[in-house]
Amino acid sequence: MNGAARPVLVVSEQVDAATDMVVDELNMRDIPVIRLDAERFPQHLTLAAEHGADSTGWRGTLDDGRRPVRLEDVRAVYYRRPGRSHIADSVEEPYRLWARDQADAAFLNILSALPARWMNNPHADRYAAHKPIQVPTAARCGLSVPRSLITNDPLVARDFVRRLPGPAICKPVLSGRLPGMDGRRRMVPTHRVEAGDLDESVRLTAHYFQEEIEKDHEVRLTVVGGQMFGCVIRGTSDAARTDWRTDYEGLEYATTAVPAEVAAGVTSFMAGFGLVYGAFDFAVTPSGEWVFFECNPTGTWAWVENRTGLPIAAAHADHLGGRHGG
Amino acid sequence: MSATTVPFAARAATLPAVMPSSLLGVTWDTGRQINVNADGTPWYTSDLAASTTDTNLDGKSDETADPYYAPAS
Repeated sequence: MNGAARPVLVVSEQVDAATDMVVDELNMRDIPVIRLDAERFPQHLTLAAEHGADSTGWRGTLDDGRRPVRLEDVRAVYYRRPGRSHIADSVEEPYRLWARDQADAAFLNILSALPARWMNNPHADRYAAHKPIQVPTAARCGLSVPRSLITNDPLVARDFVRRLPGPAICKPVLSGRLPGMDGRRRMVPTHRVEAGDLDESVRLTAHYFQEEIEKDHEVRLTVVGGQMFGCVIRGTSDAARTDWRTDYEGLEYATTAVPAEVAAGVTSFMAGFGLVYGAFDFAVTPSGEWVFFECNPTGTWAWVENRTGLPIAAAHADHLGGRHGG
Repeated sequence: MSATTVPFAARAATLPAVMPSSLLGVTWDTGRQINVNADGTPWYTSDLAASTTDTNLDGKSDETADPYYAPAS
């Protein structure tokens, strides 16, 4: 199969606007696309991968009954939050759970072993997503970071907060489920804390404290295959200024250029984690300094393109299609 | 539930803001492999398509789950 005919494999949920944008861009470029969701495996997707004694890679097919793809032909994989494998209801526990683990492991890792370009390999995402790893990495890459503390000691926490020149904030170490008594899921937003608030309940688990950065505005910097798209986010309410995720009605958007030193740091950060895609959150201080908050390796971006016109889907297609020769 | 059984940070827990999104009138275009509106235009061009918080439109918000969970990773 010649290079032009090798397909891009898109693994994503069916209802996902960002994936639609990428697939449509690839369609417009006449780059073959096979889109499927991992949750259809094994009931509606058939995988057959064989590795010979003298081979250097898996060969075989992934077939949804409509568009079979030869594994060895895949030029790139766009992997974006697919569902989990779904085992037939007729399979009873404990075999059902066991079967799902087997299916998940085979599907993801056969694809991971293909000699294709990725965006992003979830193995890289998983490691890169952790804030305690991100902060020192960002600093080593030359990016400014807030003073930070992770502790379960309330005395240490109070001392840290008192030593700061300004306010302190608390944020979760990890996004995760926190169901309320009513069963509805809660989130823990970034919120301001005072030293006197910090009591023995800090001992109950790890807590993440940071200095609050005085912001002129925030930037969602979307990085795709080396291309960078800066989106200014200005909060027009107190809630939006502290954590823009908590008040979407209180936000204004614009575009911005990326300072060279920030671009260099971000490039180094991405390379260090093996990421091709990343959604970075920065605060920009009144003096113009960009301060790194975090990188979301699977962060949402369709809303950025819709609000700003930044050509993020096109950048995905550039990378997945191998415009630069891959 | 007494305060000493609730980790400090979790006291700030709140229901997440969820940007509204809608699949009203949207169908799957098998040939193009994208979601389309009733008039054939791509769904992603709709104001109510690209949520900042609700990637799979399950109404639970991305902030209440670990989006990096890969079961075999």
